[in-house]
Amino acid sequence: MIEVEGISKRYGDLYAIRDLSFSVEKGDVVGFLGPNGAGKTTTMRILTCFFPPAEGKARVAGYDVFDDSLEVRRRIGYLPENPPLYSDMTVRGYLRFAAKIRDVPSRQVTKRVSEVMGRCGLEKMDERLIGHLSKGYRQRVGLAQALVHDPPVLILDEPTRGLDPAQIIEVRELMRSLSQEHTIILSTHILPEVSQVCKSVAILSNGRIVASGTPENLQAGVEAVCHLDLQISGSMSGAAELLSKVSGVLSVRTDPAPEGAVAALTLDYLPEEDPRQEVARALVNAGFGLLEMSTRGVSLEDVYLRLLKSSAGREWAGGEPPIEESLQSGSTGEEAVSGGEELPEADEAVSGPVAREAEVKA
Amino acid sequence: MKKVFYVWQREVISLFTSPVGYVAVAALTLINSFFFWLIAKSWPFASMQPLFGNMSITLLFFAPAFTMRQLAEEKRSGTMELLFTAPLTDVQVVLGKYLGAFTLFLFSVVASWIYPAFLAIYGSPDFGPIAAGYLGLLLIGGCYLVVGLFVSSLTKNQIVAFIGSLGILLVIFFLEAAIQLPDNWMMSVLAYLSLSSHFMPFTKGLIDLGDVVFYVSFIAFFLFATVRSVESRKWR
Repeated sequence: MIEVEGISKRYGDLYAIRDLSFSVEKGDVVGFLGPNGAGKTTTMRILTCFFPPAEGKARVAGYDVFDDSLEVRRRIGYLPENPPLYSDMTVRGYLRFAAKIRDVPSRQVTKRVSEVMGRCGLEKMDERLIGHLSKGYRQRVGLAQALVHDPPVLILDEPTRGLDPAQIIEVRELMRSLSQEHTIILSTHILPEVSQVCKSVAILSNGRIVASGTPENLQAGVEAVCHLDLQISGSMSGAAELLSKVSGVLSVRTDPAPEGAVAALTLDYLPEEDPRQEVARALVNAGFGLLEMSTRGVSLEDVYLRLLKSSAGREWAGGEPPIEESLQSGSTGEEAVSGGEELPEADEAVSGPVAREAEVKA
Repeated sequence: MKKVFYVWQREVISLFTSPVGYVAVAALTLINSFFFWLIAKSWPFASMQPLFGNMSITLLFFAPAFTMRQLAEEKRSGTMELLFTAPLTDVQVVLGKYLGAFTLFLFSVVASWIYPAFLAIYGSPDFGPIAAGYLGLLLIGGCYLVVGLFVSSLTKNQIVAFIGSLGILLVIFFLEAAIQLPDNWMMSVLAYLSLSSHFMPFTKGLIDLGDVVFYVSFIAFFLFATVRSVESRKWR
């Protein structure tokens, strides 16, 4: 459905994307993951024909984005990062306009607009001015605008940005239902979203794809520590000592809890040496009550941050021209800051294992 | 053509749901009415000729207000991405926008029909020169608007668009003054390029094909420049 071969786009001296290639099959839901400035929006703008790539070819539904740009645009619904809304129009008026400029036959405009308003939960808002809507509703109008001509391909730039948790779930549900009949590319830096919605993931960094595959494959591809959460009754210190002797367990952490209450422990282990059976047996044999045991696999956050780190490392080692290097490192600095804001828990995930290993040695 | 109509339609809805359109037309009518009153007091003939001269200058200050938001605001709010990822060509977008601004301008022109109406009530004006004057007004107004649209395509900021187009328009309008300098071919070229020098004949009831061609080519040139400026997102 979408084929991209070696596209590049520069702003001044800085490459927004460089030699990017990928393809998306019909019916796929692909997530673009990456820090701000990684090239997600630029790639999307090329696919939606906002501007052509400086080098390389991109085809959507068999049409080239440069040579047959109008044909491509007919087949694409695009929700930019900031929903492109006219605040002085009513929701219905705006959606009618969006439908008409997207070649919806005039007889079907009314029907399509009502349909899409129903789908996005906008029925009660139809005569409101867009300028008076809340952020969540604006996002929905933006989504409705992308769906109004029932395009085979949907390109959504951070579709859940600025929504509250309940709205995020709604939008994810909507995307899941849309994935039945549409090919979807979406970008995000909210990681759980990707594993929930997408069939495959491409991680972008500095204008390049540093990894791609299904979320499961990406997680499997990274060697990392798995975590096991336990709740037991009985003496915590005794249990910790016991468990640290079980083979395959790298470390044991106890969560402070009042004496006599339920104790919570977290074990770290390598995925290939699964100690779960041993842990259960050891605890039960020693007379502890095993109340709960659950695994936490390698999170996508681990994968993401590891890849970003290693790709940044490669850039430095690669011996690129110095001027470009300084520019890129400047932008990476920015990304790191914003990435930290978005993913506080992910930071812990990376620093975690190291700290835990230190604990074991002590 | 249908697409141009849709863009135009949206533009007009926008101009009339926001106060900008009403305020601009009302303020323009107010200042024109003041000049009409002054002229009617002091000028002994039932003629629109002096008022057309005034209107061509008051309009010069208001036309940038009609166009300042047209492309600048689209860029700032991101709606540009809707237009340029929809199956619309750049020409369709620019034409739709231009005709939208022109429609607002037409409203102000229609509002100014009260002046010839007054003349007809209290005197017996010759409607020939008045019709010619209005044709000239539409043409020169079309030139103001196209410069405004062009400058609006260069910036994200409405204020910059307003001041920028006002400055350019003032210069082009008063280029005629170059004719006062010692005679030399460059001076006459500059004077020829002036918007005002082609306007005076219309107010006297004189429709010169050369003047019409000048205005129409001026509009066509800047429309082309605007399309190019909008296209520049593709190779920048």
